[in-house]
Amino acid sequence: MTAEKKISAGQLMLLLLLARVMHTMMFRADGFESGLPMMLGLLCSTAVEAVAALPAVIYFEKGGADIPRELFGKNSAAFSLLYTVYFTVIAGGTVALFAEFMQQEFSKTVSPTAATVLLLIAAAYCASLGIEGLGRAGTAVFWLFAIMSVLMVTVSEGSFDWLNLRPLAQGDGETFSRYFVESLSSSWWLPMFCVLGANLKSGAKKAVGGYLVLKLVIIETLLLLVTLVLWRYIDVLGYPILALGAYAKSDFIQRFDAINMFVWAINCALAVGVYIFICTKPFSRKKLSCAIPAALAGVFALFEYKRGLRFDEPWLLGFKLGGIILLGILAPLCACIKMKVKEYISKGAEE
Amino acid sequence: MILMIEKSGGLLPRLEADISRIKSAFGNSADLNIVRLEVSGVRCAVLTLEGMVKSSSLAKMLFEPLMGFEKKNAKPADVLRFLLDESVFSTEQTPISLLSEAEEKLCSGFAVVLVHGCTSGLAISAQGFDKRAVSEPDSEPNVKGTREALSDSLRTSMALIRRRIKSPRLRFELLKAGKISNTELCLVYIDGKAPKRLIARAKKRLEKIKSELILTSGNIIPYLAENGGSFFSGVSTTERPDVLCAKINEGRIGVLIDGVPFAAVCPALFIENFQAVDDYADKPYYATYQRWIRFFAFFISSLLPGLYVASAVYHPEVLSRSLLLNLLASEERTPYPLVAEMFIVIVMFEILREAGIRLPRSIGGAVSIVGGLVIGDAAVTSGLISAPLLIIIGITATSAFVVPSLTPQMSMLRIFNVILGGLTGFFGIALLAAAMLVNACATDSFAVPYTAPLTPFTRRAFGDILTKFSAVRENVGETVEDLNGAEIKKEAEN
Repeated sequence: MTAEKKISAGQLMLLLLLARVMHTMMFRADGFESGLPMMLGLLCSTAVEAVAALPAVIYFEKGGADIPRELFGKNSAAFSLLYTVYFTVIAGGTVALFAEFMQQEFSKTVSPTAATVLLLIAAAYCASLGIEGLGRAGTAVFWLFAIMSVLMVTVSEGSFDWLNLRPLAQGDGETFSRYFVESLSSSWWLPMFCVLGANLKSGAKKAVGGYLVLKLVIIETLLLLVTLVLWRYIDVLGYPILALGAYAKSDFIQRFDAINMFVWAINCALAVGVYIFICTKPFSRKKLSCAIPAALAGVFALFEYKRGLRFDEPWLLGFKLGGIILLGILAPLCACIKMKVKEYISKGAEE
Repeated sequence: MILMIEKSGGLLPRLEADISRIKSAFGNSADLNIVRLEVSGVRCAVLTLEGMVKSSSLAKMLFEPLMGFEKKNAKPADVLRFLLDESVFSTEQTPISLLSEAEEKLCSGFAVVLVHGCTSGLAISAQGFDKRAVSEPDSEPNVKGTREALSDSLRTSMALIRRRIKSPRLRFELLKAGKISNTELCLVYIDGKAPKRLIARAKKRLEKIKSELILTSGNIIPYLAENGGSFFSGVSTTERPDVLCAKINEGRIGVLIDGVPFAAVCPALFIENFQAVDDYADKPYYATYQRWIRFFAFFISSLLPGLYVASAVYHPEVLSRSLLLNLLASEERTPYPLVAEMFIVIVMFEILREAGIRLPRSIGGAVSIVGGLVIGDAAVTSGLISAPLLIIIGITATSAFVVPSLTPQMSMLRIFNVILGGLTGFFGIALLAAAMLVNACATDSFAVPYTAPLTPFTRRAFGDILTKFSAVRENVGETVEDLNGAEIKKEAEN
């Protein structure tokens, strides 16, 4: 099986995208407010992300291979472990969200504990097969989403209500800023990119640019659709995953909820698989090292679920944002500077 | 001196000593024939293995000229010179000087001639063992393609390929494998099309074969395939010479095995399981339609029973109301839970399928009738299983026959999907699908992604994958190394 080989820019872009969309679709908001401030919040956070991604993009475009190794040389293991800890928490949080979703919407199907365990077994197995397999599978899952979306749109009985698109009002500032912060704190694609960039064949710029554009288009479109077609109805439905197929109905398939869950469960296994793969990067024994972060993520997921912690708790938001800043922005920035200094020194020595 | 020759395994100048050494090497095997004769007063012996040579040919090509040789006061060296330099007995004749060479040639169907007083002999090709005539490809039938299948005899299979590719660029390379069986393997490829790295790698792997006997293609495939943990196989098999020719023309290599009417082909792609020879004989629109039917059949065969169980037990909202009511009415009469019912019927189907394959064809048909019609009808009538479930299994079973090369994978996926669907609904099926998808995507066959050209996507190859609108393009000489993600070329460059 493939293990440590390379992935293309397109494959990395889709992996980042699937992980991001997964989080958006699993996030159960307390109440759906006006769509426009949220769309604006997403637009602004994307602009910030674009700037924040520059150090990592420059580092990989200049031929950088491994950020922790660049920064700490042979003693990079400790710093690499930070990525492991960070993505173990992210994996656990994602699994906990999915387990909660299963409990809320498909309680008869599987218990949250069983959902957590099964999901992590599948994800750990996927991670053990290597990044190349995950990258190629990501493309297939993306097309699966596209087909499912087209199918649901084709049989949808919903219609646009443009009155739902309420213009921006004075009170929308709070919604905007909340969504802006939430969106930024969901930008763990930056540390993801810092790790997976080492597996990239070429085209760091293409991967990041493509990701940002596609993410913006897809999530903005989803927000617009939800606003125009469902709006407050989403409070009843709960999850954006289900909201998408709320009006889809056909003689053959009565409701699309379970089918939506089917596709998102595949995506969840894939996204968590990528997180676990990232966790295993500092270790050499891949098969064994996949099981350890998976088990830790499972413990965290169950703890989070049982204690009723939400993924947008202030301390978790802080943890996520802190990780993004340290591992996704500062680390590549320092690596870039170190790389430049090294170049300067070697040039000086040659002269 | 003689002791030294004996120690080094060379032939001795004493005929009876050599004969007894060969006899002892074969353990006095009953099929070792030894004919002692005198040629112009010099004692000789012709050794053969029973059934490996054609007696009538041997009499004509060897015994007649030998008996015709007359020379006054002939010495052993004269007879040997006559054998080695002055006569042509067969198109393939090799001088031998070692005992091991004599043994090897005997096992390959040669006649070995030993001359008293000489430390060398002659091996003459006179193979004439019984073999099956070239028959129809039973496991890969078609409507408009050739009716010839590869043969058990390696040489016949080679000729079948050579007849289809009349080019000096077609290469056959003979290798030996099997510690005891010493089976001949033949690497087939087209020079300039198959990457050199691929050929070298395949040879290296074949040389590593540790099996004692090579009796089926399954004995060599694990050595050729590099993905030990893969659910799918990066090496395919075919019994059709036309398919093998088409594959090697795409830069792949084939491995023929003496005694096996199947060739192993590598690298193999997932998508090839859905291609058939008739696609290239039919109109493109019809070939495209048939390909999509095959894709559809694969998913039906793997997923339908699991999805049915999961929908009926956990996700009834997916089904339309009238269908759901029908199902409920049917299932109410049955004594077992739906999962158990489905599991039992699938196991029954597998038993019937296995019986149909293992039994003689005449009885196999009867088993299908008894199993499919009589037991099925009785089970529904008696209320043991529901009619919709039987319909589902009927559709699944029929679909399974559409893509025979993926039968093992489809059978296992079917049963796992039923178990997971019955225990955890669509969720479990989705997790299995994710694991299988990543497994297939992670499979590489000789540095070519198994899932290419779908993912990694190759636009140029797409015309011949999901559609068949590229009747001209298929002849432009593109090979597997042109697929995106294929690293063979890059490796060769490095």
